[in-house]
Amino acid sequence: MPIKLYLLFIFYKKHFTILTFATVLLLLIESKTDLSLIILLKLMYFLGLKVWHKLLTINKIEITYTDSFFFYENLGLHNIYLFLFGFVFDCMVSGFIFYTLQYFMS
Amino acid sequence: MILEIDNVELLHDNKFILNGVYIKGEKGRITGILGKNGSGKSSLLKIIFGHLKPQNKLIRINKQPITRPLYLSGTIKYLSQKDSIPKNIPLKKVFNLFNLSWESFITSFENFKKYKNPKTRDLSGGEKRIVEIYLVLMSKGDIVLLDEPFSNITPIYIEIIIKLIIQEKKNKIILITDHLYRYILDLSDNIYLLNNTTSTLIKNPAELINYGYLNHF
Repeated sequence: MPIKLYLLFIFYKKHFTILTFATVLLLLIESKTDLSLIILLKLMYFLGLKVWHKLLTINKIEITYTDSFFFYENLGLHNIYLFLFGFVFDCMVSGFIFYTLQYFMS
Repeated sequence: MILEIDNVELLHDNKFILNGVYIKGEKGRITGILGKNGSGKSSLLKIIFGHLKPQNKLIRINKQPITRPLYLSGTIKYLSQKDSIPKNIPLKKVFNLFNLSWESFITSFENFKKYKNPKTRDLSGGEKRIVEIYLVLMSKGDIVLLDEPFSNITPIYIEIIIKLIIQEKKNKIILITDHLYRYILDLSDNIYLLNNTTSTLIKNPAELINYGYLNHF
């Protein structure tokens, strides 16, 4: 597996930024501290996005999220791994931001 | 090398978008695909590329069935209708990823010499399109799928792109679709029309009138 290329995908992707901050904000408002909740929220979003992506693709309505996938698919990367790498990365970023903010607010 | 896609069935809400489609592409020949808006041209290219899974399809290369998505082989390149290059990657890095040279690119498209080390966000819509076409067309591979390559491109650049397509067809299977049908008719060795969910091999361009694709020729 060309790990360097998948890492490049993570480095340059911007798709999840809004959700990352929304997740952190939600957790802070609810004062939840459980990391598994971050993962659960991400997973729900991720599965929802997968369904959303399928619906939009079949309707031939393109969204930015899938457009950039063509770039990586043209390099021979598997889109399932792109999803997985994105998911793991987002959980890590959300967790990091959440615990950092919580540390400074406490 | 021969690429065949056969028995394509794509349904949405129990309604056929594509049904019984057959397309054949050969190395050294350009295959043009024409069709009205919503006839399934882009979906067909995505199916061949492996991005979109239809209800049924059979892809063969040199008579051998291919079951995995073709894009995983790294030998197929697809130009989508919309921008796909991430906005923040320096273009020289993008060219390196595709094993192409920025210097060679600017010898073909001299207007890009004004840029020193641009990112995609620095380019206009048409310029982005030119870069994407060049990457897809010129990078190493056996099969090229071009979805509306001439949209939003200045005529002078279309001429350069046509020259590059003719140059690359010697070593590649090229499938191309565009609403600028005159370019497609001039370029293509074979023409298929997608009409009423199925494909028809067009032997004489005048047939396009009979099928209701053109009013006059």
